[in-house]
Amino acid sequence: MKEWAEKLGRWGLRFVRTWPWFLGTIVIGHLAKENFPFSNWPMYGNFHPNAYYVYIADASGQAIGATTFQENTPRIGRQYAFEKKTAIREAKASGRDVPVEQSEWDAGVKMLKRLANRLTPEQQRQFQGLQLVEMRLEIGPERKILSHRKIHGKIQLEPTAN
Amino acid sequence: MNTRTFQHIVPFVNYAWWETLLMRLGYAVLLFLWFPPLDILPPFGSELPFPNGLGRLGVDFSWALHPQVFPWLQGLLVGACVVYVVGWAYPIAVTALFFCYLVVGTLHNSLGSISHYYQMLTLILLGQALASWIWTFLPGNAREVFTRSPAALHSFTTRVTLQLLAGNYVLCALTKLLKSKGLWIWNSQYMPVEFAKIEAQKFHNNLVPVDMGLGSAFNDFCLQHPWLCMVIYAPGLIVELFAFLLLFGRGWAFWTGLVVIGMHAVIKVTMNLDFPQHKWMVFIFAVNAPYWIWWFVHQCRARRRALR
Repeated sequence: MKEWAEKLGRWGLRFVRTWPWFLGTIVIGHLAKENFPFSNWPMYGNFHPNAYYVYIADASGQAIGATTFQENTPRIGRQYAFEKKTAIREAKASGRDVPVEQSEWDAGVKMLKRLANRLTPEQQRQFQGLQLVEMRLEIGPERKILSHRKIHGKIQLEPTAN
Repeated sequence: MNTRTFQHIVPFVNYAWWETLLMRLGYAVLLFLWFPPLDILPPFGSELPFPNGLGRLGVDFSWALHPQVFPWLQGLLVGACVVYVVGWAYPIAVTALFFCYLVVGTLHNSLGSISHYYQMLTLILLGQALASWIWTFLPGNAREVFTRSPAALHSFTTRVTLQLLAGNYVLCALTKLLKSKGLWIWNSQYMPVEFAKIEAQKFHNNLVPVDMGLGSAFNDFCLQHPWLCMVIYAPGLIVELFAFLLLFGRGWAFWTGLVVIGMHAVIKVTMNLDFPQHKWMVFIFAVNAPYWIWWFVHQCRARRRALR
């Protein structure tokens, strides 16, 4: 047994000596996670029966392209996920009994306010307001993809001279 | 198994000067072409509410976004690319390239979402920079680095590059296994939901319907036949997990490299996700086509000589 352990140890050492950069990449990447230039490559790390994305709509519910805000849709989704997480954490830390829906709404409103600053006065007049819409996708009983729409924040737009 | 057997499994590859020169040329072209233009980075003076990487530690790279500063960064990149290809003062050139990519990559990833287009390019530059500085400080090497283009240094940094490439693919597979608690292949049956999400997200960028190519028909079919997803995606995970075979010598690097490129091609068709720079990196450093062309010509000549 002791001989085997020694043999294994020698092999391990030889492995580390031969491929230190390979092992270093795995260990550092795993520990550093998503911190540029490091990454643990978590995209599509798991699949779920449902998924969601968010987009921005105007006051009447008409979708607005993400590029209007100098963004893209995945980025808007991740920003919202980040804001949502922060709002829920802050609500918990404050000790107040804030429902998750309220935190989600607050996160949505915060995001919309930030994005509204990127609109021209003309666009603000045209859209009149902004809504953050979440679309949840899932596989339905007949193996068809179903989508459910939910609004997570609304603001009115008052054109500002920018 | 004794040490000799181990050396046979993991051979020490010495790359010729012309191989590494062509690799550096290919990589420099890739770095030049993939350097992000100013218009996809945050506007100068805009708020960066989601700092990433060094930005989280308070390092501010936003000065690079100034319209009068950015051309200097591009100039530095071009100059460093030229010196990088020539191979003289290599540690300085590769460190400058790393710096250029670190600045733009950090800014690009501070916009609120993580883009995976620049990590591998930058990590390889980081690895090459570290390896070259280590080599420089080894006894007797310092002068050589700055007076000529040492083949031994370039051979060493190529081996390091292959380890970084292999390590990142293996890490990608391990993360999948950790995140899914080992159920990644089983859960891949839900891929059509993700595909529908990708399609919808692409539409909502500009509100223009997007052509998802063969992926749409494939995912519609997979929706009815979940097992097909598992059959198609399981090899991808296995390829990533076994990417360490890139380190088993030239032959293994060539075939494994081709398989990795094939995996990316399948992902492009089935998920409509393309990572051309990753494919090129594997092609340049692992497939190493110039060597195999040379080898083929050499073999043909040798055979012809033997027949005479």
